[in-house]
Amino acid sequence: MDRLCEDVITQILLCLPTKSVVRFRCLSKYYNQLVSDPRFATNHALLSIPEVHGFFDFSVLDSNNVVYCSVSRLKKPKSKNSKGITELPPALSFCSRRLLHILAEFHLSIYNPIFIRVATAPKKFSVTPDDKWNLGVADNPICSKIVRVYRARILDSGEEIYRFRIQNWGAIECRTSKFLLTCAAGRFCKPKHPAVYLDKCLYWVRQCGDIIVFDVEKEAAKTIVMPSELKEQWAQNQESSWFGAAKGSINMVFVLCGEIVLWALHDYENNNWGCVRSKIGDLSSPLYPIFFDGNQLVLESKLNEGELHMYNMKQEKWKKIGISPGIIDGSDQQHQSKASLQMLMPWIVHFKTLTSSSTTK
Amino acid sequence: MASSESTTTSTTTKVLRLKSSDNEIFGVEEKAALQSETIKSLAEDGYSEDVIPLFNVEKKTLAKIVEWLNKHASGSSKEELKRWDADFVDVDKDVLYDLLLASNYLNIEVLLHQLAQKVADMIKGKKPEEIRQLFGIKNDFTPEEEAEIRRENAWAFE
Repeated sequence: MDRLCEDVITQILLCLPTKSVVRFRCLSKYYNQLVSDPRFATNHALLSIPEVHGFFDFSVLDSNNVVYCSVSRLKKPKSKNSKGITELPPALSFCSRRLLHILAEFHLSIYNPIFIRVATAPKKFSVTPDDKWNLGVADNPICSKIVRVYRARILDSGEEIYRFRIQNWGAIECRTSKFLLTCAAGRFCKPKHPAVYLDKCLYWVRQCGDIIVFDVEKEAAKTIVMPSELKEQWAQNQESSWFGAAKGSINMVFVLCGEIVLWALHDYENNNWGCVRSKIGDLSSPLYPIFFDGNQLVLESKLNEGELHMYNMKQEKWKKIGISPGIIDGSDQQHQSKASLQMLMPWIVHFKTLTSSSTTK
Repeated sequence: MASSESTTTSTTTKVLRLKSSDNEIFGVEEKAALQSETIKSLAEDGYSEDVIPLFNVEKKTLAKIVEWLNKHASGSSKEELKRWDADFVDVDKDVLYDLLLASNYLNIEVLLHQLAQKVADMIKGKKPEEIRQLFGIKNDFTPEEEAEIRRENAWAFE
């Protein structure tokens, strides 16, 4: 293999599943260095997944605007074997709010769709590809923090103890918070429901129907157990639900037969939830919620790839957005520095600003 | 279908002449040759009337590459191409390396990816010792350093 140039070796490594790539670290110093390079790590993590996309609440800028950002590979994988899902990088996620955070394999990278900037930092905690841990990014203009919540041990009672490891963005060191959280046994929902950051706290929803909350400033944690009705809906409809923050509160949205059910956590201290139901009639095809800004709900068709719909809760109006990440050309004037970003990463960033004035269907 | 009057004369098909590092000349239809970004840019630079020199590719490798370029410009069905490609990359390691280096130099992205995938398939599921042996990689870690890396990434070595 020493006959090959670095370009070619990189090409080969990019075709490998994560596990094989990690094994290259112990082959020799040269391969360890190559595989640990943040650019390689980011590229590899991104190549392992077909696409990341998310919606961003830009109500700070203009209440009518919702921006859709899709990060997809330049080319579809040529001959991806069918077990692609199990080969997902152990940590790839985005927090809501204004940043898209892509957490790559050996390093973390944060992608900011407004300033079109990518930052990478060495990651100081080990990540295993299971759902006993999760990551979250506390997005702060002065210093963002990456928090890893993980199961530290299981008690005889069956309960579990969770700990929190914190790394300041850009810093080399990280430390484990002294706080120990004891809670029921449960697993995180990765990558379907990433962490949500709201008002200095990170929220991770778990499959068992509770939410782990970590106050990043005070370094204190607690769990919020869903009220029984919500818990039941969650148990049955995890795949077709959305968990996130909108209008200053934690929200859960379900699309059930004939109605949209919106839950909002009004009172964080007393675990007081409000519930709104909106009749929508029968849907011609199943739609899954992927973004909610407090009024407008964006849904994705499970049958027709790339078909998106928007539902305005107040006006009770539907709008077909119908954008496929592959179709939009990213020729937006305001995103000219796109080209420089592509120098860094092998994927295209598509932007589309969806305004309420666009044609209603 | 065999009507003699409308034999579509191939007057417009231009042939580019590619010269290997050991001075063998290959004629390749322009359409096929331009799948290589490197050839494309050399042709645009005015080499197209002349012989295009490819200093980094020997004739035995260039012959294979030309074969690939022609096949992929021939309009074969997807299934047929897939089968053909699988045969094409089924060669020994040294030929594979030559083809990899040549497709990287010639900047033929599709071919490069196919070849890289082939090597990756050889690596998949192998233990570190096996990978070292397969590719003749010399271990320059101390046993302690290696153990440390394995400990940090224990899940990958299970």
